Amino acid sequence: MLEKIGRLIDSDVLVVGGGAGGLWAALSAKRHFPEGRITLVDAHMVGRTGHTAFSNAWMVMVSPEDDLDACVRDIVEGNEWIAEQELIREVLSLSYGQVLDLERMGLRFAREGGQFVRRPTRGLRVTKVLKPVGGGLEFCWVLRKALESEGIRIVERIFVTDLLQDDHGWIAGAAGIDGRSGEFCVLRAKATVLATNSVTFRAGFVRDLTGTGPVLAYRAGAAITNAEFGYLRPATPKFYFEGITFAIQDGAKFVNAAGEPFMEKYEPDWADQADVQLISKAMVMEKRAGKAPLYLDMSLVPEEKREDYLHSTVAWMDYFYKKLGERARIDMFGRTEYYPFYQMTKMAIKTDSGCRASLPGLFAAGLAQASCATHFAGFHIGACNGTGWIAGRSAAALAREVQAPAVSEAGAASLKDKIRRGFGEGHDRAEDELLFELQKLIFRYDLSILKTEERLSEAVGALAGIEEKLAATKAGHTHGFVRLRETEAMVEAAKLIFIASRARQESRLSHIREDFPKRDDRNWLRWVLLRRRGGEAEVSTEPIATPLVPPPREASP
Amino acid sequence: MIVDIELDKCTSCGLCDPICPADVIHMERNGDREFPAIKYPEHCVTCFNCEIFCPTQCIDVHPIVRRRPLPW
Repeated sequence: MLEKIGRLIDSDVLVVGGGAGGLWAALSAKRHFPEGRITLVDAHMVGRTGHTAFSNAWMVMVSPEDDLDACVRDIVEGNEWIAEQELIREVLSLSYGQVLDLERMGLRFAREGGQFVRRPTRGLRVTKVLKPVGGGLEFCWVLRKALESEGIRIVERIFVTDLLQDDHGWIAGAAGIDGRSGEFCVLRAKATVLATNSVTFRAGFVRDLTGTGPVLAYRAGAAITNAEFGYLRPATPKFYFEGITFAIQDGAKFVNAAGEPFMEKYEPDWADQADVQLISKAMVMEKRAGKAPLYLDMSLVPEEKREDYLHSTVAWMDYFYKKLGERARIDMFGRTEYYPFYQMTKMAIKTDSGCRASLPGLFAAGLAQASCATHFAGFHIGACNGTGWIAGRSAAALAREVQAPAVSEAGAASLKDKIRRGFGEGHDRAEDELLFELQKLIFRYDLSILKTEERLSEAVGALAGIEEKLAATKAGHTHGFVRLRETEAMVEAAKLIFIASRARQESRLSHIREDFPKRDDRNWLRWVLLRRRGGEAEVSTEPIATPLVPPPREASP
Repeated sequence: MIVDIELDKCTSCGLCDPICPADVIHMERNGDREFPAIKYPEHCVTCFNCEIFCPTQCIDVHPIVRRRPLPW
């Protein structure tokens, strides 16, 4: 009896993660399988926490009068062909209907003359984005209410520790603990959608993204990809400022220690208006030329425009800007020291165009799904909406056809025992120290921004030391246990990032190899795939299908 | 980072506990009522959620975030 081992929650479709991807996946599963039992679990409070809730919720939308094929080409070219073309086409083609659906649920978008108000976004030529009134908080809350009204069960404060697998490797749900009481939970399901986000290594825009989802999928044997790509941007460790692009348009410039602007030297066409990852690379070159520290000079933003920067439609940022001057005595319009920063990995679960992972019973949505390799403002939440819908639909189709999977009592008991063994006498802040060790490594500019094979190999070795200490560390309470397991997942993610970065022997997008400085379309229009085999990461590559947007001419032999 | 909860203004509504994405605030019993306690201030992610949603504005979050290691 599984009920005797822990709290048992039975579902037809289980969705893990309550951001844009997970909320849409649950809704889609219910609409494609109305009599099905659909459960969404989240580590915190659905609608009020997580990456989507803390964002503006800018999202891509292709309306019926737009040129869909041109938008697909836009996204594929912007990703330098590291993109699932058919999936992206469907995501874009769903986007208009999803925005109308959100309006019907009660979410508001600005309209002028009946038309949605949209704007272009950095890095894309024709594709446009829009945001809801009230940003991510309102977006997530409206979706949460829709889920509740459509009979979807929401279970909160569950920290998923493992995926359940039957004897044939079929994913049969998940196991985890209540994030407060520590109670063991078995979440048995016919189909499981992972929609758990990416990894920020507890820094950057949202500091609670620890990437446990893709790592759980990897541990279960699923293929993951895009670990060599990330989101690079200039940032200051003192505070968060999301308006760099607009500030630069209003006159702000990056300058070196001598006060000289330097971007024109590295990016003559774009200068400071270059993409953030090119600015990050230029900052590294300037540092190597001995010209650090580097600053963003916001004093060049005209007085009359400054007021705009002290407000945000994102509630937390608005509070933040309001309090920065008053409480921290930081003048945002001065010269602030900036560093190139590796904010987030693009590592995610490899799926087919139906968001099916390489293990039966497993699906992926949101940033846990690898639709593409770069990070356009506004595209990624659009992609989360679309992949959520597609993953929920695929999961519902499977759940309609199959019987409940067999989850053995012995298997569940052994997972519970593994969790129990993670508790014990331990010093309270051990996980914080190990996290800091990990951050010191992953944020190093010569590992996360400019890479070489030699340095990447050394970094993999350095991680082994952290892994060893983590394995020997026990948690004294549930809070510490969750933090330890998250740190463990982040260490594993870092290892996969270094291994994938070593495998891709070219430079493309945010993946910059000093020893292979050129983009190589002839050899590298391929996915770098990582699978766990015998406890180690097995690396392989697979050609990227180009059914809709042909590859660049250089790719031909 | 979260710095203070003015308990004399707190109504014990309990919202600040689940709304924290970092499990920093725990409701704890004190006499016949539960009050929020700042259990893990060092894990605060400075999202201001508790301050924003508190119905009596009795929570104060300082805007400076915990430093991360630098790239050089």
